[in-house]
Amino acid sequence: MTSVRHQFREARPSLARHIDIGVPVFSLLLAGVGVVMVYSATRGPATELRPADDTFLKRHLVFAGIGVVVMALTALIGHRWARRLMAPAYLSMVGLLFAVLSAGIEVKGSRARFSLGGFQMQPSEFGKVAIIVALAVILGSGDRVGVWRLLVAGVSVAVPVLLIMAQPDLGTILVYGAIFAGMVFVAGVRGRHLAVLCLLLLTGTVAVLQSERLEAYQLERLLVFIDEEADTRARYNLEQAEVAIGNGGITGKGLFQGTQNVSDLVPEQQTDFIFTVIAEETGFVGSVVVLGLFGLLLARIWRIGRLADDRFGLLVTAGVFSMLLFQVFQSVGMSTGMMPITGIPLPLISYGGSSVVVTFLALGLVQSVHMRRHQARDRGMF
Amino acid sequence: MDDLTRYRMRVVAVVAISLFAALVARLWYLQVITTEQAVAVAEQNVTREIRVTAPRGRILDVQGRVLVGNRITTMVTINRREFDQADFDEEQRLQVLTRIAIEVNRSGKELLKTIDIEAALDDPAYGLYDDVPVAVDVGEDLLIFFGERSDQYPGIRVVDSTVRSYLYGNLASHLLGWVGPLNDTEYRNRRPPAGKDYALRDEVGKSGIELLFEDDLRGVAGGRVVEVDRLGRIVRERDDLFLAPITGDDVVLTIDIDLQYLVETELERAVFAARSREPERDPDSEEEPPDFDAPGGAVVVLAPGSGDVLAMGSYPSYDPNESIGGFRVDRWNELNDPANDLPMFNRAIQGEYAPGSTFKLFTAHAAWHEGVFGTGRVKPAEEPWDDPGYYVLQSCSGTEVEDVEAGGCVFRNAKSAPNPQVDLERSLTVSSDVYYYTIGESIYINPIHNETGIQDAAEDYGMGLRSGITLPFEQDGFLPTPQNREQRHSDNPTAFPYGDWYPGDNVNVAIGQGDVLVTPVQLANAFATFANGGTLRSPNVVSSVRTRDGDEVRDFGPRQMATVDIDPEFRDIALAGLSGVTSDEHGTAYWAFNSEATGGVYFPVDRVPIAGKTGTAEVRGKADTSLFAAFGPIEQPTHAIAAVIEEAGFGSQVAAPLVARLLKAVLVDGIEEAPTAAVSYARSVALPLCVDWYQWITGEDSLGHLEGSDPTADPTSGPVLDADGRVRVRGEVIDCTRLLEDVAEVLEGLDALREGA
Repeated sequence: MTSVRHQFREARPSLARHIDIGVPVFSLLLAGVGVVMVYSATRGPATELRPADDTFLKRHLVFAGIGVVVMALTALIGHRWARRLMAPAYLSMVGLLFAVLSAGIEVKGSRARFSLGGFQMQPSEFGKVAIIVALAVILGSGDRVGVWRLLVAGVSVAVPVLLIMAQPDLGTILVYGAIFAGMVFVAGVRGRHLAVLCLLLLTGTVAVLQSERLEAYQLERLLVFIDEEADTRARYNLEQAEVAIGNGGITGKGLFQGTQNVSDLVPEQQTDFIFTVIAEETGFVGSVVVLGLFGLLLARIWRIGRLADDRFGLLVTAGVFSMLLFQVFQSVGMSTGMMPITGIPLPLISYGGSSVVVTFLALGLVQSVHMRRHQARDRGMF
Repeated sequence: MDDLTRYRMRVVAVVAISLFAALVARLWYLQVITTEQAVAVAEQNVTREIRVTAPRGRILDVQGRVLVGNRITTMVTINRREFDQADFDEEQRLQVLTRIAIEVNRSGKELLKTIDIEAALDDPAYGLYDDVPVAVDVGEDLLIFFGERSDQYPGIRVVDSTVRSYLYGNLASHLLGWVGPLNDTEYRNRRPPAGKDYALRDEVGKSGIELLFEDDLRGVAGGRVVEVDRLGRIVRERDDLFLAPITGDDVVLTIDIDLQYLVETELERAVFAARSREPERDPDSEEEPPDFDAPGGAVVVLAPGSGDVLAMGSYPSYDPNESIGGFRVDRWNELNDPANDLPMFNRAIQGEYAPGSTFKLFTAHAAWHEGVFGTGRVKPAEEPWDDPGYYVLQSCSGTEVEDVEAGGCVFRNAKSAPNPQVDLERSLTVSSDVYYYTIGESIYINPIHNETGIQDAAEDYGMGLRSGITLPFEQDGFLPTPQNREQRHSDNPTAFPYGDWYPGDNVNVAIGQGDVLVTPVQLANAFATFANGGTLRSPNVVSSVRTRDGDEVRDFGPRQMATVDIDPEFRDIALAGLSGVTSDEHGTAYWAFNSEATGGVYFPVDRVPIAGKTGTAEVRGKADTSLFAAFGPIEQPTHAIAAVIEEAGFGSQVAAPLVARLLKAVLVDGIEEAPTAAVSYARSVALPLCVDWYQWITGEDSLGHLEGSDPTADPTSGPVLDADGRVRVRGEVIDCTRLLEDVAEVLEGLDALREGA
C-alpha cells in the first residue's frame, strides 16, 4: 500500500501536466448545451397559468454534476484499474442484464431499466463501458488478434447482446455492435477475418429478422422503439421531427421559441429526439456548432488514441470513439430521417442519468489514457 | 504503434469525417434548402383558428333607442371530448351531471335538470371537440367552483359569452322576433352573404325582424389563432394573426317604443276588461251564450301618410329573453300549446278574422263606384229610408216573414234593432246591417253590376292579400267569391262540400262575414289607404339599416303598391258617416269616445274629429270578435288603427274604448316613456317596500324594512329603501311616490271598469 501511495504522490505532477484540456472542455460545453436543451424541451409553454416546468432541468443538472465528478475520479484513478476490474465489471453487467429482465420496469415495451427511488438505472448503458474494457483486455493482450481471440471477443459481446435483445432494445445492441466493430478494426484483425465477421453478422441479422419465432409486433418493436403503434406512428414521428428541424431554418426560432417543441409535437424530444429541439431553436448554425463540438471531442479522442503508449489504452480509446461516433450519427441521423428510428440518446445532451454518467465515465478513461501515456513505456508495458 | 494500427486509425478518421459530412449535408438540405415547406407545415401543425363570433347588430326604435342589444353572460359549457375521455361508467356519469346541475341551480336563475344536460351532450349539432353550452346566466362563482375542481368535472368550463338582450322584455316581442341556435335544416337551407357563413348552433334569427333582417344583423366572424400542443391544449395566443370580428348592422324600426308600450298595456287592459264582462242572453234563444274568453287580440297603428308601422301589439306575448341559449323544451311546448292561446303567434299579421261591420266602408265604396245606388232595391245614397231591423231576400218567393225565415231568407240587424231614416252616411254611423244587405244582394243579382264588386273593392284596399309588411310569416286573409268557392270545391270536395254561391252569401260578404277574413294589419292598412286618399302602401316596420357607426346601408322609403280611385263626393259622405261613429250620439262608438262608462274616455271629438268603424264579427260557437278601425285627425290623419279582440263581444264595447284611449293619449294627452324590462322588474320588487314606506310616512306603521336594513348592503343589487321613499334595485332607482300614484290610477281604472260592467 505504501508503494502505491508513493507512486501516486510522485505521479501527480506529471499526471496533471499531461491532462488533455480538449476532452473536458468540449464535453462540458456539450453537457451545458444538453442542460439548456433538456430544459427547453421540458419546460412546457410557460404561460402565466402554467409556469415553466424545471423538474427535468434540476434532475439533469444533478446527472451532469455526477457525470463530471465520475469523469474526474476515473481520470485520477486511471484506466489500468479498469483493466484489473474487468472481470468483476463484466460479470456484474451480465448479472444485472439478467436481473433487469425480471426485476426491471417496462417502459414503452422495453424492460431495460431498474427503478431506484425515483431514478432509473439502465444496466445496458453501464454495460457499454464494461464491454469496452472487456474487449480492450481480450483484444489487447497480444500484438496480433488471432481467430480464437476474435472468437472469445465475439462471444463476450454476444452474451450481453442476446440479453439486451430480450429486453428488447435494438438501439443499444447497435451501439454494442459499433463498439465491437470499431475495436476489432483498430485492434488489427486480419482483413479476411473481418470479411468473414461481416458475412456472419449479415446472415445472423437476416436469420433473426426472418425467423418465424419473432412475432411481427416484436419486429416492429425492435425496429421502432418509440411507440407500440409501430409503423404509421413511427412515420408520423419522423415527419414531425423533420418538420421541426426544417422549421428552424438557418438561424433557428430562438431559444424556447420552437413552436413544434413548445407544442410537444415531437415525441421523446428530451431524450432520443433532442436534436430536433436544438435544430429548431438554434437552426442550421446551431446544429452545425453542436456537431462541430462533437467533431472536436472525437478528434481529441482520436488524437489520444494515436498518442496512447499502451495497447489497452489505445483500444479503450477506440471503443469510446466508436461508441460516441455511432451514437451521434445514429441519433442525429434518426432525427433527420437518414437512419431508422431506434432509441439512442445523443451523448452528453439527451436527458437520462445513465447515459450522461456513462459517457463521462468513458471520457474519464480516455483522459486517463492521455495522462498516463508515458508511464507504460517506462515500465515496459507496451 | 504499428503501421497497420496507424492505417486503421486513419480509416476510422475518414469514416468519422464522412459520417459528419453526411449529417451536415442532410441538415443543409432540411434547414436551408427545404426549410420553407417545413415552416409552412410547422405553422399549420401548431396553429388552430378559433372563430370569434361577431356581435349581432342592434335593433333600434324610431327615436334611436336600443330595443335589442347584446350583453355579456356567464355560461357553463362541457367539452364533449374531455368529458368522454374521463371514462365514467353510467352511474358516475349521472352523478357528475347531477352535481353540475345542483351547482348551476345554486347560482343560476333558471332550473337546470340533469336530463337537460344529457340532451345537450347528445345534441348531434355539436362536434366531437366542441364545448356544448348547458346553462346560461350563471353566477361568476361557478367559474371558481369548477375551475378549482377540474379533476372532478372534466371538460366543464365557465366562460363569458355575448348573448342577445331584449331590453324591453315582452314589448314588441312578436315584431322583434327571437334568436336561437341554428339547426340542421336551417344550416342546409340558409344562403348567407359572403363572410357570414354559419356553423351549426350559431345564433340565428328565428322570427320577426331577427329573422327577416338576419343577413344585416349578423356580423362577420373574426378569428383568433392559437398554438396548440399535441393534445390540443392552447399553449400560446398569436395576437399578430388576430382577425377582429365585424359587428352586424343595426336595424332601425319605424316603431316608437313608447307608443308600443301604450298599445300593449291598453290591449292587455282591454282583454282583461272583456273577460270581466258577462255576455247578454238572447231572450229568444234557449242557448247559453258563449263566454267572453278574450284569449287574444291585436292592435296595429300605422301612419297613413307613409305606411310606417308605429306600433303593433299582439296579445298574449312572451319574453324573447327566454330564447337565449335556446328555449327549454317544456317552455317551448308551453308557448306553442293552443291551450295557452299561442303567445308566439303574431295575431297582428297572422291572425285572420272576419272584419264584420268594419268592412262596410268597402262595401259602400263598391256600391258607390259600381253605381249600385238608385238601382233596384237600393235607394240613392242621399235618400234616407227606414231600416226595419231585418231584410228579406229579393230572391225568396215567400211573402210572409215567418215563412221565409225558415228558408234562410231573412237577415237581421244585431238585436233586430230598427234604424229610422238611414242614408249612406247614417248607415256607417249607426252601422245598419239591412242597408248593406240590400247592397250585397243587389250587386250580385242585378246583371248590370259586377257581381264581385265588393270583393274587388276590398282587394283594391289590400284585403285578402299579404300587405307586404317587412315581417315574416304574414297570412293572406281571404275574400270569398263565386269563382274561388267553386275552385276550392272542385279541388277538395271533402274540405269544401259546397261549391255554389247564393245571394245570401253575397249578403254576408257585404257586412264582412261569411268567410271574409282579414288580418289586423290589412284592416289598418285599408283604413290608412282610405285616410290618405287612396294610396295603398306596404307597411314598413324598418326604416333603415345602418352600420354600428351610423352610416346608412339601406333606406326604406314608403313602398306604394297601388292607388284606389276614391270619388271625392263619396269620400266626404263616408268621412261624415265614420266621424259620426265617434261623435254622433247614435254612433256605435259614441260612448267609447264620450264617456268612461264602457272603459272609454272623454275624447274631444269636436276639436279632434276621429273617423272610426266598429265591427262585431260572429264566429261559430264562440263569442263575437270585437273590432274597431279608425283614423284621425280626419283632416290630416296621422294615425290609422285597427284593434281586434277575440271572443270579446261588441266592437263598441271592447275594441272601440281601447282605440279611444289610445288616440286620446297619442293625439291629446301625450304618451309616457316605456319602461325597460329592468325598470319593470325594479318596480315590481319595489312595490311592497313602497307600501311599507307609505304606511310609515302616513303614520300607520313603523318602517320595519328601513330600520332593519343593513346600511352596508350592496346598493347595486338591492332592494334597498331609503327614508325619502326611493328604492334601489339592481342599479335602478324607483321613486315610491310615483309608483304608488301609478298603481292607484290603475286601481281606480279597474274600479270604474267594474262599476261600468
